[in-house]
Amino acid sequence: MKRSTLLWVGLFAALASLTGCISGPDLKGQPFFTSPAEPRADEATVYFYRTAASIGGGVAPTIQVDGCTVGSLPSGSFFKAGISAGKHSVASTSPPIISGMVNQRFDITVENGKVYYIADQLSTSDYKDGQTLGEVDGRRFSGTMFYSRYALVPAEEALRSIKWCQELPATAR
Amino acid sequence: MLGKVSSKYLVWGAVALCVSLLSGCATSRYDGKHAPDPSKAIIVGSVGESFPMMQPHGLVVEIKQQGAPGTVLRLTTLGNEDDQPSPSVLGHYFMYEVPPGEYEYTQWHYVYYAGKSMPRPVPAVFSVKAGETLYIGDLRVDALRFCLSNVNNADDTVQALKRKYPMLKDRNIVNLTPKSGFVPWPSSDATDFGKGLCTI
Repeated sequence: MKRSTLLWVGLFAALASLTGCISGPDLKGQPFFTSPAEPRADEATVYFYRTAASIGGGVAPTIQVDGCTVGSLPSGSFFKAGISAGKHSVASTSPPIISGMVNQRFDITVENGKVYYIADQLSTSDYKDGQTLGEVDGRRFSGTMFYSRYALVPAEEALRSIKWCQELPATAR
Repeated sequence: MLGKVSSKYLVWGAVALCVSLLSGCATSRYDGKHAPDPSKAIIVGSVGESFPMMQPHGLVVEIKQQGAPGTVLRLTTLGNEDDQPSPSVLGHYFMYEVPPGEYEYTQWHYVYYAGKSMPRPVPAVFSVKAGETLYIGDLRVDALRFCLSNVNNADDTVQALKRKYPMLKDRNIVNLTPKSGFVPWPSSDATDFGKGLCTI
């Protein structure tokens, strides 16, 4: 095989594998959210979710609580985390191929026996609803401003959105 | 020389084949000007997008027959007649003659937006039988919420359809929306403004 052909094959293989790294686990066939699990009395139940997004939809941030990875959020996914009562530090990290840096950080205070919904959200208009955790990140893309944030969403509102999300595979935690 | 000519014809032949294959994928609309095929069903409804203070973005809704990958209804607002009197709504009443079977709304999108419809937790499926004429709903979308609904507006739409397609005038049109209708279905362009998707 010619050297240039080998080079191209290698380049395509590398790009294909990198795409897999960035976009996160495949959600095909995973169950959709239906209703919250019965909360445990000895911990808080926290649902992290992210509805399908056109911008950045191919990137899956990793979520850490107090420095420990609890899951990742590919576009259109959710996962559940059991967290002990108290104040915790949450960080969202972009995949290593993008930067490997913490791009959002916020604190949450939770109580045992309660259910919380934390959404990774994106909008073309700034958020004014008081649900923002940490800070809103505004960036211009192709001439349009996009605002991304994490939000602590009341249950009634969260259930309208999280029902369109599929569960992160257990193997991807 | 012969090789060059042959390869040229081969290319054009391949292009022609591709075009004919692609055009065969989408089922064309039925205008009612020939007698309906008794071995098929007729489905009717309306499709429209509202665009207050904006341009239309080109709604595309796909309905596929389950188990028959070649049968696709592609409802589009751009490039079709505008039956809607409102200047900020673009859409039309449609009629298709289709083989009996199960049909599923598989996806929708705007031509001028990157987003695609989100995967559905429950498939939107309806079934049709030969000889039936069925109203399947009014498909409505706007570029504020980016959510497609299929609602029951049979009282008005069926009358409008009978005016547009005289062959429907004396036919019994069954309202299928209890099965074919669906609640707002977001695309990946839908934004949660703090009240949940599809809610402003």
